[in-house]
Amino acid sequence: MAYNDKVLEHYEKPRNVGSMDKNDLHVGTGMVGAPACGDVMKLQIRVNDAGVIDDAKFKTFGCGSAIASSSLVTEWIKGKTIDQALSIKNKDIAEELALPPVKIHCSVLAEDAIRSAVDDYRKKQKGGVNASGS
Amino acid sequence: MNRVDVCWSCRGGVVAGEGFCPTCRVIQPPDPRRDHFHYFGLNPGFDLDLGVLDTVYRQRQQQFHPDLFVSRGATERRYSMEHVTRLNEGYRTLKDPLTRGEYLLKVTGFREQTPENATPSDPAFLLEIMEWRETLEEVDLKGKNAAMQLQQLRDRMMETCDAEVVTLGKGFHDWFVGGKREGLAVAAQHTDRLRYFTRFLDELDRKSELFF
Repeated sequence: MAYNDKVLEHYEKPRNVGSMDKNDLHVGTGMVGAPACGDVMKLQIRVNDAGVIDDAKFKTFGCGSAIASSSLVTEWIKGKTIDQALSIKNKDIAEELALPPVKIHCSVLAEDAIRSAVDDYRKKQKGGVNASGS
Repeated sequence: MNRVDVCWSCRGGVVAGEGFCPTCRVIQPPDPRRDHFHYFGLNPGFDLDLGVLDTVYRQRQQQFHPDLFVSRGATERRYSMEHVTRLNEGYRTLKDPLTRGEYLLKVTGFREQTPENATPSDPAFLLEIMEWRETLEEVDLKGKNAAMQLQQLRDRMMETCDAEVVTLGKGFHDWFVGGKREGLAVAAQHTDRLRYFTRFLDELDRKSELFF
């Protein structure tokens, strides 16, 4: 099966590969996996005081479509608020990359990664308050 | 339970799925309702005697080998092919712990197929597999110790896989011997973990090919 040009473009030149300090209170780390194919995806967001995602990094071990999906997502969510980032749906990713039906789950993985990163960030923000109280 | 069927050739009685008619000795079709365990004459379960599996496989390969049927009619040649296909598929599935585990989860009715996506119910595990992947990524393939580093990583991973196989085997044992349904949930979880590790090994082996 041949990959679509946009997938190849992201696969060969992935954007925003890397890691941020996961202990930083402004950083949310999302970890998701696809049990059926063994792919793992880590997505990190850094949120500034205005609630805007000012940086995003990813690391994905898996097929070209999974790498492209996460690379695309880091580009899309930079400069967005958390709520705007959460409104990105797997359908948008799959359409942009023209993923075939067997690769749709890669875009679902990327959507889940955003949610997981936001959850982690929000938990940390709450935890920070709790930690000082307990 | 064995089903009684009628021999397609002499109309005598045969046990469905038995290889040959006891009356006219003509080859019979495989019974699609038999699972791989039944087909190999093994008790369903994760703990298999692989020696027995090998022996039965070889015996039946000889019995059903298409070469033995070249001078027979089209129906017999077709049944011979069907048996050999069935044998190969069953052997491949049962031999490997990962595919055996996946197959058992299916035949026990626990789940039809592996979920494509799962919310990280176990983030610590995802972190662990991520660390394995990163360690592999950091091996300098041009460095003089690369082959040795890959081999060490492979040895460590094999140990990890062995431990997973033991744990998932216990889960299946709890169901097949102890009748505890929750054993299957344990088995499913560890089958999934083994799959992540197996994919890691695939990647490691792709990198190791550079040295051979």
